[in-house]
Amino acid sequence: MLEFIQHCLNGLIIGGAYALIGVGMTLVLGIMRVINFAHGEFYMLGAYLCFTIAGLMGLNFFVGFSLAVLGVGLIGCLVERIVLRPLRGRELNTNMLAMIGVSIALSNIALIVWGAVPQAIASPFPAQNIEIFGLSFTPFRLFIMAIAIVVIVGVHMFIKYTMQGKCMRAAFQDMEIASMLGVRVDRVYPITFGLGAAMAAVAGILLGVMFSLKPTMGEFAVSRAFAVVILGGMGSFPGAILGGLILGLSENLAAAYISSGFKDAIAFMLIVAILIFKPNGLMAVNVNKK
Amino acid sequence: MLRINSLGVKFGSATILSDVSFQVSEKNCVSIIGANGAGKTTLLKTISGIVSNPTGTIEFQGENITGKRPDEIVKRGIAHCPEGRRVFPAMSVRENLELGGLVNRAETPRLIKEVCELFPRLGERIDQLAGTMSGGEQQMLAIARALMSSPKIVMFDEPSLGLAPNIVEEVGHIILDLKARGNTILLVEQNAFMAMSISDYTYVLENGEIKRHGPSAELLKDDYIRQAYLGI
Repeated sequence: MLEFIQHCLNGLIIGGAYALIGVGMTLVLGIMRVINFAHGEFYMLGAYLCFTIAGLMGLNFFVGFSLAVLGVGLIGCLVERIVLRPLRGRELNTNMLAMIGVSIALSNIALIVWGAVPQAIASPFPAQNIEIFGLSFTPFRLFIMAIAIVVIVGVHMFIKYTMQGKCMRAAFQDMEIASMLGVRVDRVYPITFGLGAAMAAVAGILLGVMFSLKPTMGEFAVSRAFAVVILGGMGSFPGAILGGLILGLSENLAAAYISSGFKDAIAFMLIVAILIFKPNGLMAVNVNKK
Repeated sequence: MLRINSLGVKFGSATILSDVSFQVSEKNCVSIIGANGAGKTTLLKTISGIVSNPTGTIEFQGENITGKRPDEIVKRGIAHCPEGRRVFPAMSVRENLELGGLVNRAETPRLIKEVCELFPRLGERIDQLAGTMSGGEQQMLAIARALMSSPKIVMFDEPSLGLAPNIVEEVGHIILDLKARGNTILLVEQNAFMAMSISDYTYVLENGEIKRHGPSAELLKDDYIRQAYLGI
């Protein structure tokens, strides 16, 4: 029984990181109506920037973490400014193709800069496990859980309660009226996109420490992001969180009790099974609602 | 106070407005009437800075504001109450009002209290989502949202559109009320009778040009206006 709980908690912790990826994707999708195929590359860039600052330059992990997240946020703003802004008002397909292009470009830039050899970020915490009620966790897993909670709650509060958050929601409900009232729409877009990218970067660093860094690691993240967003219901924040937790949990349980080689297949089969009964996702909202 | 000099707007090769000139003096209520597609909405959007690159000039309190950004224009005291209400449906009444007061946020709490006294229904529903309110209530919210920027002039775009006759009358009273409090009003309407009954001066816009203008009381008696716009 204790073992089962242990597996569940481990799954939920990874799920927290998946939720981070999913919420970042949902932010851009639900608010900007852009399907961000480059989301995985922001995840990858977060991990590599942290690796460069903390691993190669030898600075403190937390300094690397903060600078990498900030850096990816800025790169996100730039991508919005350079790629998405000229396409604003065009069809969804055009944006989607542009983002696929950005995704390919970024992963190849990473290949040139950091090479194809997998890299690792050292955990800033001791490797020794912490025991709580007979359950044991590496300190880094607890760190993942804490960061996921803080970031998701923080972003939610930002969007719901700050004036900038209200301007974001207003701009994406009715851009013309928002700008008529004095909302600087030209600033709202890059901020939203940068925020989504920064959330992917946080997840990239967290999971980068647990796994390893490759220029193609974005594929892993973007497939999770889509699964989480579709499972939760397109555009739903709570849905993305729930979707992330379910994905992490089912992967971990599948690995523990069925076969670790098939854990991804099993987790995704479960998602397909859920979607058969809830085709719009668990907490669907109508994205086109005016 | 507001002076429009030979304003022209083109969308591609289509001319929407050509050589439109008029003015609104302080504490006056001026209406612009015209049929669907006459260019009324475009005119207001151009003044608000949403439609860009017009020819001609827009002067407000002696300053040329042509080509300024929408946020700069609303900051100078020109509020726009848009056609079709266009409240933010997925946001609460309070959030809608807060966004209306974006340009002078320090005054927001006081102004929310003030507009809720003016529209008690909004006060009762302050935390309700705007999209769940009736059309008349949404129109009140749209007006209140425009007032949140403490404007010197309020531009109304078809405030009577899609409302029941008794609500249209109520909207008319509200506009007269605002004028009595010293506001300057620019009212754009298809409902010519309503517009001319509450305004001091009226311009008639046809196919993007000003065809006629005069004191509203006189135009109400004009044969052409009676035939074309009032159906009598």
